[in-house]
Amino acid sequence: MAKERTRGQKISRRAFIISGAVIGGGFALGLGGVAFSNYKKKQFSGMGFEGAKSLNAFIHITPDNKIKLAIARAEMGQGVHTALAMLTAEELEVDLDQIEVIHPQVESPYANVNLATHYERTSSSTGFHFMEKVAYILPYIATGGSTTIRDGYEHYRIMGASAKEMLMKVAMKKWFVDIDKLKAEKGFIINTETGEKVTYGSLAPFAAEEKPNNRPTLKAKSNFKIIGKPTQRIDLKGKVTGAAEYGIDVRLPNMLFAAVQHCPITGGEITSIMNEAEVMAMRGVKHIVQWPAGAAVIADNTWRAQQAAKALTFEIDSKGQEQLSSAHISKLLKARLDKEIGHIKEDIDDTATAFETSDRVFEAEYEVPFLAHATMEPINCTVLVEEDKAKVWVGHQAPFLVTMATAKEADINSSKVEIDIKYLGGGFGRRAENDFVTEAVRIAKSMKGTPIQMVWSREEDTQFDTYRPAAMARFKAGINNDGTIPAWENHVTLQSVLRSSIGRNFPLMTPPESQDTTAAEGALGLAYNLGARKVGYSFIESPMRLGFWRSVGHSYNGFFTESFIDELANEADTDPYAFRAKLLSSNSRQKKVLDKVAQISNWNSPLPEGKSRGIAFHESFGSIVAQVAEISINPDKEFSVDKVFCVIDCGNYVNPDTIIAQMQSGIVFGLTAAVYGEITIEEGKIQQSNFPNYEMWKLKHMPEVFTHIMENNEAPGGVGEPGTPPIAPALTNAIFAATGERVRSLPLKNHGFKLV
Amino acid sequence: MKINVNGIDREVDVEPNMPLLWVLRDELNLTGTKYGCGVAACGACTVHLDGQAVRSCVLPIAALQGKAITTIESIAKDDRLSRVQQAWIDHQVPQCGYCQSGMIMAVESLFANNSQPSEEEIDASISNICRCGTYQRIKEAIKEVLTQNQENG
Repeated sequence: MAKERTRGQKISRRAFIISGAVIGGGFALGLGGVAFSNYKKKQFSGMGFEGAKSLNAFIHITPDNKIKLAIARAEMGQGVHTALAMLTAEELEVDLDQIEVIHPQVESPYANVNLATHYERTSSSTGFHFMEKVAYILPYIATGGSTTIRDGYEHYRIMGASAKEMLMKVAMKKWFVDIDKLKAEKGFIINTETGEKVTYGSLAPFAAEEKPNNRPTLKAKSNFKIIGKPTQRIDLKGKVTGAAEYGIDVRLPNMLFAAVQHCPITGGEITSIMNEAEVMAMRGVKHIVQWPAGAAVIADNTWRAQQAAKALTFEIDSKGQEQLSSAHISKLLKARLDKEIGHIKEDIDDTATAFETSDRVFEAEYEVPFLAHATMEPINCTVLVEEDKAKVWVGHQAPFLVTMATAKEADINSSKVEIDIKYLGGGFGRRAENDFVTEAVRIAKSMKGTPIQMVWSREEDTQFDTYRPAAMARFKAGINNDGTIPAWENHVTLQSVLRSSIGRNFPLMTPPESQDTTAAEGALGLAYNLGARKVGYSFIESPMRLGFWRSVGHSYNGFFTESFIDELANEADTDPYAFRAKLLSSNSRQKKVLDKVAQISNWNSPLPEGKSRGIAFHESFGSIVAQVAEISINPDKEFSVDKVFCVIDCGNYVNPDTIIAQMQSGIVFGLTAAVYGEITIEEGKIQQSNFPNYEMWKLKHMPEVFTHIMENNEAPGGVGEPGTPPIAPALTNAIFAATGERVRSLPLKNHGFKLV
Repeated sequence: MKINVNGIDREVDVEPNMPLLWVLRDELNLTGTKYGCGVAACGACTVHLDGQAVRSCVLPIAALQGKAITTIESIAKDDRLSRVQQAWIDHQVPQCGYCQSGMIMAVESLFANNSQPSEEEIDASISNICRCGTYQRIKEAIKEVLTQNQENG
């Protein structure tokens, strides 16, 4: 049997490929000369690192001893700039405050291979090799799928260690000493025999000529001084003084502002503007641009542009969608649920036989609605189109899409597109789309030579989002009197996120229905011992635009699965924690996480009248999370979430402080959706428009979250998303424990529950 | 029209009904004050008007003659952070950070009016939205400022 490489080994190989190719190690990937065969050709431009010496594509050292570190990952609050800088600082032997993070251009060395190969189960599969090549060729610069640390954990250390070796080699020659007489410390190489010291900055010009070692020795975990220690984020000061620059804060000489009004009917088109002359006459208005999905007004101030865009009246072609409604989509989902599973993704033994021999059979159905991302910073993008080039300033999770979309819309070569990636005022998957970049370029190219900042109003942001799909699931399980589950069937129906999103952003890569790996994620490969299984999904079609929403398929499958497990525990008349524990293999990481959350939440201790607990457990993005929600609820269904106990096993981790923050963040995100979250559509129109009717969690609702991080030596897992999936079922399971009411559809507000 | 922002008189040529937010951001390039909703629902645009927290996205400029407007840019004095700002850093409050200008302005105003607000008063007065869910750390940071206020009067 062929031995599969582990993910960890895969990362090493990738670091080797990149450093070898980039620095000139002469490694050829064998892509017919496309990317890495020419070792003399640098694979990065060095744009943004002027005045510094490049020791590799990532580490650029200035004469005054500052480290400019290339990080092509979006900082959208999840702390990746800090975490990746920590990894490099550890091996390069510098302090974090010596590092300045710079977002490089869209270039191969910075590809996110882990995300590109995210859904390939093994690193030896054909699909893996194909996607790995695609990642370098595109190059696939993107932040998502909670992959940043999984992609960078070893890579950013290798870059730091390799650069340190190059600096040391120069120092060896300078002082004629052996390497073991040298010490690297806080940006200096020190001769331990003489006490002489020299800055990295002064060695860097010579070090840049040294041959890099692609496989430097990395520090043992026990020697880490930075990695794994609570560390202050590097982006805090600007974020408390107002100085941090988000995409919407870009200000350029002579720039104008654009506001957009989209066709109010989802899937409809604007055929003409009825009052163009009238709007053009409004103060500050410079130009109007129209396309099928919307129209924009360019003005000298955002507010004037917004007022003018709001004043536009359209003649529209509703494309037959004026009857589209949530009820209709719900009916489609239910009808599809009643048919056979379209794409079976897990088929273990014969469930039919297993049901026959089960002591009892239990079934249940669940439903969740569409959800909006509602990033705090409304969607925006600033573009300058000139005769044969363009520049884009934007907060974005997928710069490679920014480059592609800009080149296409401006009709220029992608090498003529310069990007400047700003802080993201929230991403959550929304800023992985190119729709708004294309619109901004379309608007800007109507006034070549003038930089134009397009800002969507909150209403446009809400009503022209790329939504988390509405979904339904039906479960059927066999239950034996001993508490075992000999048979398990789960059919999920929804509209395909991958086909919708990739179909818009990158049509060539649109997967067939059978290959939407997000649809059943979180429903497949459950750690529970469930006997015979049949799990799969089926799709419906609708004009709704769908996208990646924090935790994607896990966001609904986590709720479905952990609600149903809780129902089975009740059917088996067993404690929900004990029931789950029995279904998990003893000594497994999963069982340890579940046991730990029971321990820190005092699961078995009694609670006063009016309080209850719910438990849920879910694995996603390489991490295992268990949560217990402790709530207060009265007979009028008024409730509060008082405490959340959260345990995460994310393997080797970088900044525990960030993990704690991300657990809190993921929990609030999931609670908001569970209690309030719902995008509905009537007569083709999205019914929610702004925070008053798309409600948000607030300070007064905040539970106290207690997070415990498991210690082990496993491969790193994600932390940006895994905190979200378990909290909705933990909450509804707590409601069931208190009231006996099983909530099988979200949001809770539709069942008379009121958060107080 | 003349307004006073961060102690400086500024002349701006805008419509009287233009909300302060857009005068700050687009006319004066003071981009620390953020646009979030435009309907005073999220608080990202919070500034101080004569020391009181107000949501600038619905505040017409005509109503501001003779009043002192303070924005996040002037909260740190000579690069020295305020107690609230320092607590925000010590407790690592910001994630994406977009709402934090408004959040800090709301909290500064709360403390300016009442150095010892109760938990209920804090919950009631800080209704700003943070989509990253940094509320727990906001509470911790506020608690630290409360303690400092107690110690330092």
